[in-house]
This record gives sequence, structure tokens and C-alpha cells, in this order.
Amino acid sequence: MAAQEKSDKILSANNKKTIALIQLTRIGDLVQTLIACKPLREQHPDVRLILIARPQFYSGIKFLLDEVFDEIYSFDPKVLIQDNLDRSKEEVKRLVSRLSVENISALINCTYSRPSAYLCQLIKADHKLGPWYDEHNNLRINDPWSQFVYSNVLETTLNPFNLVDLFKKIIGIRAEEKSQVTKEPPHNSRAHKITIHPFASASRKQWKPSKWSEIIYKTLKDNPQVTITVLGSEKEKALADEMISKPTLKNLKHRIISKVGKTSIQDVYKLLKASDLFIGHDSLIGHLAALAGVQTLTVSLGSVRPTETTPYHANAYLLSPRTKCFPCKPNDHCDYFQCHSDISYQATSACINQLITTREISGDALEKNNSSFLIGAVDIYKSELNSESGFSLIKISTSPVSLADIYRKYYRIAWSFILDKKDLCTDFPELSSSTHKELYASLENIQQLYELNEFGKKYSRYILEEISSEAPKISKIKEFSHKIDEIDRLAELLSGANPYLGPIVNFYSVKKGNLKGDNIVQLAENSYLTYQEASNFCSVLHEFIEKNILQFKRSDDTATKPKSI
Amino acid sequence: MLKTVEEIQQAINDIDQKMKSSEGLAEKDHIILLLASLMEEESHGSPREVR
Repeated sequence: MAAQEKSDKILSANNKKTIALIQLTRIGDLVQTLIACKPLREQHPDVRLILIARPQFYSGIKFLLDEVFDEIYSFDPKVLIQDNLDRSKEEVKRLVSRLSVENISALINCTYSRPSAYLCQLIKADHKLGPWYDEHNNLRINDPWSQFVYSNVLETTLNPFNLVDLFKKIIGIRAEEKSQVTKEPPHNSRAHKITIHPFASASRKQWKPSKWSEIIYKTLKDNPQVTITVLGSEKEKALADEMISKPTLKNLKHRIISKVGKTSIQDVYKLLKASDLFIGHDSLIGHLAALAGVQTLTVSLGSVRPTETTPYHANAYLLSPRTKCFPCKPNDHCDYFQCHSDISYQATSACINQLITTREISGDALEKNNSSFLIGAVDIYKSELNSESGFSLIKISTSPVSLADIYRKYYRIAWSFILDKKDLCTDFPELSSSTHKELYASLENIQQLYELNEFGKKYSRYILEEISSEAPKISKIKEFSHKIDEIDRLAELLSGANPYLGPIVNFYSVKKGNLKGDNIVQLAENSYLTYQEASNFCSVLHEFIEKNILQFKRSDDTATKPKSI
Repeated sequence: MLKTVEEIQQAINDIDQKMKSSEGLAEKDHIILLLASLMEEESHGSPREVR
């Protein structure tokens, strides 16, 4: 009876468009996917929205997912992998046939893993976005923003977009008009209730308990009205006990409430909603805090890429170390986490005290009241949500802007222009004499990459000319094709020598690997167009840098303010 | 479980042969590949962090 009702529900729902999302990764990614889909639900209440996710990750936040998704399909490895291959195959077929009843218009794979790409292959849909395997077992990624994620998020540290915005771009969600639910902190009112989550998914992303003890001590000592609630899971209980049981906190224990190992995610969400400020590392709880509309201060360490995963709301502050190797990759070997030391507890406490008393962080005030030795090792950012350009991090500390930040700004404008046809109006990044010098040196590499792409165009055109000749020779076509391979290898060598060009080389390599076309003419034409686009990208980047350098020279002479790009 | 691994390995060998002969894969082949990749991912502690 229940099955019949469900089938009827799906059949009646089939009159409307169905969009299915595959998100098989962790809870944090699921929350980011949920935040991305919220405006879709608001803008298109008539669309049937379904999610395919692992129960171990979605079950805790189902109360939130149910507000946005009409149905959640379970992709459970424990069910799919049986002790007998035939039974395993039956389980996969059962899942796929249940999904085939949905009559999916668009299937969007937001996970970049092999199982998700095979699942995407098996599910029938009118349109497929994100990675999937074709019938010859080749990985296909046809849409440009999924190509961007595959080539930039996983491979470089220069992605300028938050993951929520990237999911929105892949799905095709319009920018929000009324973008935020974050409650504006009341003016002249101090924060009283602080919630902290001093843990993350890996030790490289979190401080040791002793550092958090210092911060808790300083915060409570300086702010007698404040109480601190500590959040964490059962497996983090030992670390939390170590943190709270420090002798320095003995007389302050009555103002520390430990909820570690005692709460469900729904309880955590309620606690966050009642808080004035959330402080933590990069983790699920930060994303929940953004959903709950509470001000956040995130301490990013290790392999965290702040631009991608800072809680997506307009009231987020972020501390990140200026350590040269930050951010690292999850598997990089590291004996001594220099980035953990570079954000001192004093600098963090100074920021927390400002947030408690004024509800904002002022870079000038920090510099005035604290040693530059402590503040100078940290970059401090505030989030900005713009209906046109989405989420961005604005630097508020006065330390010089890093070359990586400068490139991210260029790339943000260039990718928006090339892939979205959006013309973002923004200021030039401020250069220092050292970044100016490095940028100036980069111009030659960009010119070389431009020339390589022009060669790519030339040999793609030669292939087309050979095909259209009276007696096309296969040997000639092969020769030009080898030249193109050579050009691509040289581009990779160039990006090895100048990693700031990695985003362009990686993206166009993925794009060339997914050229559209059923025959050699179409493939050669699309190869030509891809090299053309890559050439244009290099021209745009070259022009930005030239103008920025010129503007720096002028402002150096006349001390004028930066002008818009 | 061990038996399933062995069966999947045998099935993958057959798929490799198919691919060498440029034959397109069928739904049953993709199911095998899905299961194989899922088992591999699970053996690393699901799912591996890529960022």
C-alpha cells in the first residue's frame, strides 16, 4: 500500500520537472549543496528536487535537507556491497530502477569520485552535468563549471570561488536578490553566548587542545559576561576534556558548558541559533552556523582552502596563516605544523575581543593595539555576499596582499567573464614592490602560453584544411595531431615552471579532453575554438597585470587611490 | 566479501578485454565498475578527502 502511494506520488510529480543531485561526500559538502539549492527551491517551487546521498552523511541533517529536497535516495555502501556479487548487482539495479521512475530532466553529479561518475552513467536523464563515464569507460565532463571544479578545485590552490557558488553555477541557479538570512548583530550590544567547535576532520586542520585552552581562558577573563559552549562528537571527548581540565580554567569552569558527545546535529543547530558568535575550524559546524544565521570566526589551518569552504554568509570572519606552504594538500607530509603556530592565541583573542565588544573586526584597531609581530603573521578576512558576484573574502588586515590573493582576484574576474559572460566591476588588487616584481616577471610566461595556444589554433586549422583538401593524407593529419600533443606538453611544462598559470592550463586540458563532436571535422573545429578561448584568457590576464602594474607605478608616484578594472 | 572481490576481479578482466576490442560497455559492466570503485573507496575509509 505504502509502495503504491509512493509510486502514485512520483507519477503525479512527473508532470513537473525533476532535478536530481548526486552528493556522495561528507556532511559538510552536503550542507554546502543544501545552501546552494535553497534559492532553487525558492525560485522554482514547482520543480521536483531529489538528492542521492549516503545515509551515514545525510541522516544527521535530514531535518534540514527535507526543507529543500522532495525526496532523498539512499546510496548505502553497506546495502550495495553484499557477500555475493549477484546480490550486489541486484541492489544496484534496484536503486537505478527506482530512480528511472523519476523521469529525471537534469542529473547533476556534484561529487568528483569514480563511484558517483559510474552511478551518473547508470541513471537515465535528459541532461547530465558533472562527471560521468560514457559507454567506452571514458570520463566525460561536458559543462564548463564542472570542468572548472575538476581542473581547479582539486588541482590548484587558486580557485577564487566558494564551493556553494560553484554548485550554484553548475546547477544554473540565478544570483539571489535577497541573499542572506544572517541576522545582523545588534549595534552596541556585546556578545554573551559564544559557541566553539575546536575540532576538524584531520589533525592538520585543528589546533592542539592547549592552544584552545589559552583562547578560552583569555576570552572568559577579558569578558566577564561571556559564557562558552563547547561542541564536539563522542570521539572528540578526550580532547575536549584535556582542553577544559587545564588548571588555568579551574576558576572559570562555571562559565564553560561542554556539550561534547552529548548532542545530535539537530541539537547543535538549535544551540547555534541561540548563540551570538561561533568560533571554530573548518568543519560542518561552521556551515551549520551560517545556516543558523550566527556570526562566525573560522581559523583555517593545514589543507583548508578558505575561499572554497568559509561558511557561506555575509557575517563570516576568517583567520588564515601567512605561512608559505599554506594551504597544503591533505597527503603532504608535515612533522611540524608551522601554520598552527603562525596564528597566535594572542592574535585570535584580540579578534574575538573585538567581535564580542563591537561585533566586527577592524584591521586598524588590531594593528594599533597589538604587536605587529603577532598580527603580521595572520591574514584576516571578512566575507561579502553580492547578488552579482556571489561570495568573496575581503582582506581587512593591513599586511601586504599575497601574490596568490592577487591572482585569485584576476581569476575571479576572468573566469566570470569567460564562462559566465559576466563583467565584474572591482578594484585592482593593491601591489607591493615585491608582488609587482613577481607579476612583472610573469608577463613573459603568459605571453608564452598565449603563443602556444596560437600554435594550437594553427595546427587545428591545418587539420581542417587537410581534411577539406582534394586528397587528404592521414599521415599529414597525424603529424598535425602530434604537434598539438607537443603544444599541450609544453603548456604543462610552463605551468610547472609558473604554477600561477596552472588554472588556465588545467582547465583547457580538461576542456580539450571533452571536446564535443562525432567526427574529426567537428573535433578539429572545437579544438580550434578551445585554443582560441585559451588565447583570449591569456590576453585578458596579460592586460589585467599590465594595467595593475601601470596603476601601481602611478600610485607609487602620486599616491592616488586604486582605480577600477 | 572475499568471494565478491574475486568475482568482481574476474568480471573486470572481461571488461578489459571488451575495451581492448573497442566494444562499448553494457549496463551490467558499468554496475561492476561502480561496485569495484565503491569497494576501493570504502577500503580507504569512505570517502577519501580530495581537497
